Amino acid sequence: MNRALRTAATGMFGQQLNVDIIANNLANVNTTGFKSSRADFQDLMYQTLKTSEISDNPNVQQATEIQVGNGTIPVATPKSFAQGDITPTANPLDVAIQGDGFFQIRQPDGTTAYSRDGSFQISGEGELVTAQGNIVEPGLTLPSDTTSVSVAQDGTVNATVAGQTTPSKVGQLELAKFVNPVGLNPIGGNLYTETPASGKPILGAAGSEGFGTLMPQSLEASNVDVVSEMVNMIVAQRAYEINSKTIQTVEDMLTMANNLQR
Amino acid sequence: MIKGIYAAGSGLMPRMLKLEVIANNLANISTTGFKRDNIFVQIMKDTGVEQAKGNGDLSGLKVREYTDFSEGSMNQTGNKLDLAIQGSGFFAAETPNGVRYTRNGSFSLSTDGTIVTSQGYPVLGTGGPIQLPNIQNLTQGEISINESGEVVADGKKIGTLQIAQFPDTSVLKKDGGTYFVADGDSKSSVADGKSTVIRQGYLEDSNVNGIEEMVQMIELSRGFESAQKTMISQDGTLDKANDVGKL
Repeated sequence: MNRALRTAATGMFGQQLNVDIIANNLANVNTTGFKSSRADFQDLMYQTLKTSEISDNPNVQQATEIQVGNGTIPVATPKSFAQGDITPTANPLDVAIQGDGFFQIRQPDGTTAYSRDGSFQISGEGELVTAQGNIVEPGLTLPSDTTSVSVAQDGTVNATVAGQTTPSKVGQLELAKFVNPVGLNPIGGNLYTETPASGKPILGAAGSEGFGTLMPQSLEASNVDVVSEMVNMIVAQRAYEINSKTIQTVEDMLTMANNLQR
Repeated sequence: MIKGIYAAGSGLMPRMLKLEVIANNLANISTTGFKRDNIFVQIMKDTGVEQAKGNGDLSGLKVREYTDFSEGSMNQTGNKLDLAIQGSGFFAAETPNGVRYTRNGSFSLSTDGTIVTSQGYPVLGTGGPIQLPNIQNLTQGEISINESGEVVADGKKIGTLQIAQFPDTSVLKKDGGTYFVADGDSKSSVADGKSTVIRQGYLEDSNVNGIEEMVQMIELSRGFESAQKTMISQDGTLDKANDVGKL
């Protein structure tokens, strides 16, 4: 009986984690380039109980095995890298990726992180940086007298300088993609780092085979689907509730068992 | 009279066990590829005869367990390495303890490009584990798995997923982590794309139905209560019988 209590407790714990993840998804419903997560569960080990049984022949005793499980455990929180909606912003430094690939962001410690968030800015030194001020690889510096900037679908960045009418190429943004993006490690700030599970980054130009194209003057919205998150939340809440009912039932039955002795 | 107490007791014990099984089903209501268990009590056909002979008290009950292998609903995830089997059959994975079978197709890639389960065990193809070649330089990092389980990466066919079929699913025992271990022979084959279809980007939900389990839980809790009442009443009667001899 105590096993049933513990089993139900693992179920409640799991659903609580499920709600935590749904809450994070819903909190990021307006986060540029955000990818939703889900909780992955597995069943815990099984305990084999042997119950004796008498067969039709009373001289032959057989043992029947009954497997009783010990509940559930959350094992992973994989992200869905499904495309988010492309939202036009009219800002020349906003770039969205339509298809596979990540922008490469140089972190302050020199390592590279990866992001789907293309809301870029120009730093005081004329470098193309993220909203947090980290440099977008492969590091572009715009001339100081730049009057307008544009990003093409293949990642080419063109700048028009004062006194000139034709834009000139400053550089080209390079995308990175992963065989198993689900294996990437989210570190916050819309950034991911590579892991053994994600594999090494594969670099390439936007629009080349297997890579997405860049949509200038737009941003990729969060791929959180509010309706399905709400449905998941109801399911998680009900699953939590039903596991609490198990605990209640166990308690009732234990009370009854205790009342056997008058 | 004492026998009556045992009979009532036999109504209590299997229900306790059943509650543990239902608790596990409900705890796994969100576990991908989970298959629900159930317990039933079988009364042996010669119980009456045995009781007539005076030795049939509890021996007439068999507690049996079965796993319900009915299909869970398909849940779209969009991940390329999330696979679901529509129809019968199991994915096979090579674990340190031998081959294990699962309906949980939440796969990923290891560093060397092998398709592995979420615990990192290689998923078996028809010719052993499926390894994507040259993963570092894969220019077209697309992996596609068709309805017959053929894995295509970089435009080349790499292998075919092995789907184990069990004509008698009662040989499968649960091993935790949504794995099954087979006590008997399996027929390893591939998905034919008709009766067994591989769905890329989908996962199979748990086949636990909350309402059904709830109904069973109410039923067993009430059954437990009546068995308890029977036992108390038997006890009361015995108490009276004990009082008969008193002066």
